Amino acid sequence: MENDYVKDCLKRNVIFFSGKGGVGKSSVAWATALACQSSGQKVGVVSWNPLEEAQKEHPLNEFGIPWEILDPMECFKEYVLRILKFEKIFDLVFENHVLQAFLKAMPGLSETVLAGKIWDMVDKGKYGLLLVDMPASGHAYSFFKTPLGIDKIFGKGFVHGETQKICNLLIAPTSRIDFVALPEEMSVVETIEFKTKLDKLMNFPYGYLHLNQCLPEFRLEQIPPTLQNAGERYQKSWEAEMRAKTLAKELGLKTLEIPRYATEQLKDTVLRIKEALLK
Amino acid sequence: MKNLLQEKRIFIIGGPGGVGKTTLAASLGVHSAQSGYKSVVLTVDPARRLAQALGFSNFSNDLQKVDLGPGAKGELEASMLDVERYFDKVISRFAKTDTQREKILNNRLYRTMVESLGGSHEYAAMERLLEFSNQDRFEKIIIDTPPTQNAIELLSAPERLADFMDNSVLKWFQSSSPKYLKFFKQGTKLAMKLLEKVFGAEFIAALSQTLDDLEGMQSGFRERNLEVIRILKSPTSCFMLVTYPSEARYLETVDFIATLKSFGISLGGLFLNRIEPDCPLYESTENLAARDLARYQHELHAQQLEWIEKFKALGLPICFIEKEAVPAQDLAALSRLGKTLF
Repeated sequence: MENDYVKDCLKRNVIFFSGKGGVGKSSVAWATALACQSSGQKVGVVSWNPLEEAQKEHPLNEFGIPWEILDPMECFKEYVLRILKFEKIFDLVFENHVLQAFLKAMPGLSETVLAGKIWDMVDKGKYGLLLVDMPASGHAYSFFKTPLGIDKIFGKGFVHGETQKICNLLIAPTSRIDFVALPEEMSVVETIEFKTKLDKLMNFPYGYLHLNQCLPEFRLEQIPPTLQNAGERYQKSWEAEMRAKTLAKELGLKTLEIPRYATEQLKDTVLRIKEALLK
Repeated sequence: MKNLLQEKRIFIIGGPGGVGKTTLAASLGVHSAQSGYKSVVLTVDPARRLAQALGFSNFSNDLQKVDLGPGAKGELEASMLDVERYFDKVISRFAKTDTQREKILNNRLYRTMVESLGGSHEYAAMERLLEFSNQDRFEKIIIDTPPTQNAIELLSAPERLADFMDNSVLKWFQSSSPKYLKFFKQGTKLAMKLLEKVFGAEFIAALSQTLDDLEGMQSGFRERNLEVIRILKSPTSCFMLVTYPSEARYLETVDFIATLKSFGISLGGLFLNRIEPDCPLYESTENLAARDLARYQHELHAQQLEWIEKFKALGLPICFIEKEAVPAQDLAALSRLGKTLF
């Protein structure tokens, strides 16, 4: 029997996980993929890391979930070939130093083609549900904003038509944007600021706030002398965490608290978060 | 690690963000100033409380003196990164005439690019690095960087901008306009048609116009960007990575080092942040909460130790920073943290 979180995920085609680096965005995205896969959904994970070599030996590969790593230049080629049809002409025109450099440097182009690629994957129904592990929040912001910005500057042409589709994807009820943050004041404030910026852009279909690495609750009544330090630290951290959680309510999002597990192994962490999400 | 502060002038603090990078950069600045150096720190997108701790009341590119209180031997100036206004400043500096400056600043495409399009944070951070580096009064320069998952974006930013501003790109676009008709080549014509089909004729026209407006400024841009690359590689610069002892961050760090190496830069050292202190086990059949807390804390520490060993095997100087129950948010706390760094 699926819980509300999984049920909600199963209604979507694409979920974007956004938040600063180091807060466990990838772990939450992968855990969600595993949780939905166990309900029979055909899932795929998308991320940005361009280092293919590292991906081959990456521990997350052992889960056997298809992992799409997007390279802007490859996506651009795919994009152009959809209207051009002839690969030879593409190579003739774009496979030269000047235009390659130009395309790489052209602001906003990579965000647009990456968004276009995600749209394409969703549209073709390659996966029932695509979990997108967004880049760190500054970049996530330009990802969400660029199709809108581009839309304004491209009068007509192929890209213009594409950005319209991307905008529609970003606000579709079958899409969802989740936030991942630590239960710490700074992390929560940053998330609030980020969401405020996004709010000014469009009416995005927000989903959950994942508060990752929440301290487990120990009801300490009496602290033994040998645990004086640990006990005091714990209580201080606990109080700070409570304040952060209160602050997080300002976001007005459904909040999922994911415990801080006593593990630093990636696979182990993902599996435990999956269990937490299934509860 | 201690020697680094003496030996190096420029510290570039990298990392994925969210692991205390900006706080570390700020405390490094405070410590450097308190050690007697005239220092400057650039912070990118600091949390409000941290900005206040450095004395900022509003968001600004302007350098601001940080009041370190009586007895401080050195000086600290701090600045934040306001990308949009910073780009305008750069344009104003390179523009040959007032007319050219106005033309660019009012160019719709230019405005959209700096306001909303990606990558500009990296360009601006590297530009400011150069600006500080050229001012001799700064003995120590600490640059916090935009959060990047890998070093490529940051390091290639100046090169990419230089490529964008390259004369050959400019010529490409100019060659489509009638005044350069005589240089028209068949390949260029085909490419232009293709670009127009992809991006729309209107955009290509606007882009040609922008590049026209920028004429004469490219060499300045290019030189500066090559200068940034030179500084990054210089022996007095030091790239530091803020990371955390876990498998995920370890894998990232290995990638990061490889990328830096491909740019001919070596990593100066690591800040291993948020280290959990050890805790003795406590066996009890009555105080179960205390027993469980001890087990939990002990296990966390043991898990981290495993990754700390792997980080050590990388053979880099490492600074270990214990996790604080409440993160540093005022000058006194930044100063305490700073002292433990170097």
